[in-house]
Amino acid sequence: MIRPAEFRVEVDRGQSAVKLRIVGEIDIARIKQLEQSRDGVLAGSPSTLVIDLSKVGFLDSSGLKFLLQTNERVQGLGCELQIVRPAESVMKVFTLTGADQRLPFVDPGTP
Amino acid sequence: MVESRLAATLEALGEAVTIQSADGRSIYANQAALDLLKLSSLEELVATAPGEISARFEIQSEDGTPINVSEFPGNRALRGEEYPSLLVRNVVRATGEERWLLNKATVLKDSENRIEMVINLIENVTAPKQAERRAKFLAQAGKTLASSLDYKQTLENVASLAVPEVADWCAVDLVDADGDRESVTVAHVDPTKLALAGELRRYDTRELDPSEGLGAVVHTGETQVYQAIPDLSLAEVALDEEHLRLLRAVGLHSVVMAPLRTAHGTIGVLTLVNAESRRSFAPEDIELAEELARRAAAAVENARLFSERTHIARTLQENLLPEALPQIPGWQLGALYRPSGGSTEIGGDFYDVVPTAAGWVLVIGDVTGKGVTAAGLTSLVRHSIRAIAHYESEPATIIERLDEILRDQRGMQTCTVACIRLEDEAVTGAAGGHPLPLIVGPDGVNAAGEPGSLIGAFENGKWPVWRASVPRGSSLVLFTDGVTDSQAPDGERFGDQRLAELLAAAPSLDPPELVRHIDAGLTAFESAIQADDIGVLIAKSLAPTHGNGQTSTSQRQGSLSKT
Repeated sequence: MIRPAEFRVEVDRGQSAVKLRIVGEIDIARIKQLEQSRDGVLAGSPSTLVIDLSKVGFLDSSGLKFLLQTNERVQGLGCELQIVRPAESVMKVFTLTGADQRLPFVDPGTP
Repeated sequence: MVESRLAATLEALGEAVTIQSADGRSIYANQAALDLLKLSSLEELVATAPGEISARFEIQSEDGTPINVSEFPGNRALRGEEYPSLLVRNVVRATGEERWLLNKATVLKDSENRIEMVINLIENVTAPKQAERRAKFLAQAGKTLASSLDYKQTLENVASLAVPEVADWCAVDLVDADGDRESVTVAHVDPTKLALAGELRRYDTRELDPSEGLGAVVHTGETQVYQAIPDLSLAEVALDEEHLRLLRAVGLHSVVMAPLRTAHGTIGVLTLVNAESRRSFAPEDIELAEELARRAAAAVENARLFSERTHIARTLQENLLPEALPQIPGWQLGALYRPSGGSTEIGGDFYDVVPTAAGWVLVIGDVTGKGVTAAGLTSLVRHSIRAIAHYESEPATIIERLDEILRDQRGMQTCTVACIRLEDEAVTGAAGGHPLPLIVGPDGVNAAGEPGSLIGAFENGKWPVWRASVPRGSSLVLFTDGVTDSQAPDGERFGDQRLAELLAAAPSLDPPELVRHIDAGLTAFESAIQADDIGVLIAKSLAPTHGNGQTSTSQRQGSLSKT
């Protein structure tokens, strides 16, 4: 598979909120890494998990499923999920599937 | 008196010690040193010229470059040079025995600071050195075997790794279920020797004789070892004069044949041969051959299981598609399915054309996930839709029922589906999280319909019903996201815009040609291996002149024919 673009997950641990900032393209090849990052930070029982998609250039159906599963997971853990809205081209995947109405999106710049 | 006591002490030492006089001659060696130098007595040492003794051994540094005796620490010390200790590989020419010797020197000087004599201490480090080199070799071989699922290539790589390090020759033969052999690889550092092996192969029989050689290893699953093979036995096995000439030219000295064993039996044989080096195989070498054969067997087995799994997964997935597209009055159909390039990680794209009480419904969908699990879910989705369509003919209702079924499944099982009923120059549809279809016609390329919820994901999903007109001569193009997500070598995605342009360039093609046009456009754009599979289903609204003579095509392609 082609992997020209960089991909990384930056973890920013605050007092009670943890932010996962994803940089690059999210497709099925990245899901394992994302799940590991997510499970790693959720193990610390944060009160808020922020997944920042503002630096994501592409997200496919496996990325969408990852976010839906994460949304389900945090509810059982009493953790609040916030997803920082991606660029309009990426947002299309969410509007096409109705997930824009179901996932807790926040605008970039929201503290 | 002192000297004889000193000599007695040296004799008692396990380490080999030799003493050189100031002129470089060897004047003393203890028993351990005589043993190492393969000398019968001190007298023999003193009587033999120094060059003559060293000629009995092949002496190399660790990287294989020849070392002259003048470079030994004792001789360097005598010349007044620095004399660090020196590790050498020493092979006894007569027997092929390999030793690793660490040579150290100590200088004794007289009262005027002139060199009186040099004492050489030769430490035999063969066992630890060979163990280290075997471990290193096995680690490297293991890495090579795990590097790829192309087992023929990896066996070749391992064989070339083994020569001349482990043996002069290394060969691997596999046997199939019928007991027929297949020579996978033969390695030797010298290409002219390899040519000999090629000629010898002509004498191989496909069927193996279970009483000797390879056949015996396969039959019994036990390692066979032949050490110091006499010329006589070559003459015995030779089939004719030419065969004997070739066997002699190879100069077979010692052979180890170790079985490639799996849970299902012996699948092949690893053969190590020592010839021109005249080395015999130590018990550790035989263990090494067996360990290497074990690892090779595991690699072959893995590769076979993997390709079997790929085959099962592919077969499963291909059975998720209709054998042929139906004939539908007023419409002409065409379809394309192309599995992802990523081996067994099959995706879950599918399409179908399903009869309902109110007419034919086109179905296209994509199950999130990969592999056999995805194929299982795809099967559930496709057959559920077929069953629902017996009772329901409204696309939105079909999707709603499917959503209920998926939400009853364990874990989160999601999929996208678009259901579109064909009517007279129009369609009625609903989409569940699926890319909206395009209508291609004289008016250009336009998206049709409204999006609806991903199926299986949410409580109270919404699937708006929409109607679109498809005038005669226009085509409705349904596709999965594998099309728009298709990636160029530079990482660029194909995207909606390129797809629209591709279709706009050929608005009047019939579905079978339009499918080929899309396939060609994607192939030109993308890199060789795509992460996702691709599904396209096209329905063209026919002009009345076509009458009933419409045809339909289902075009399927394997990934092999992709380029």
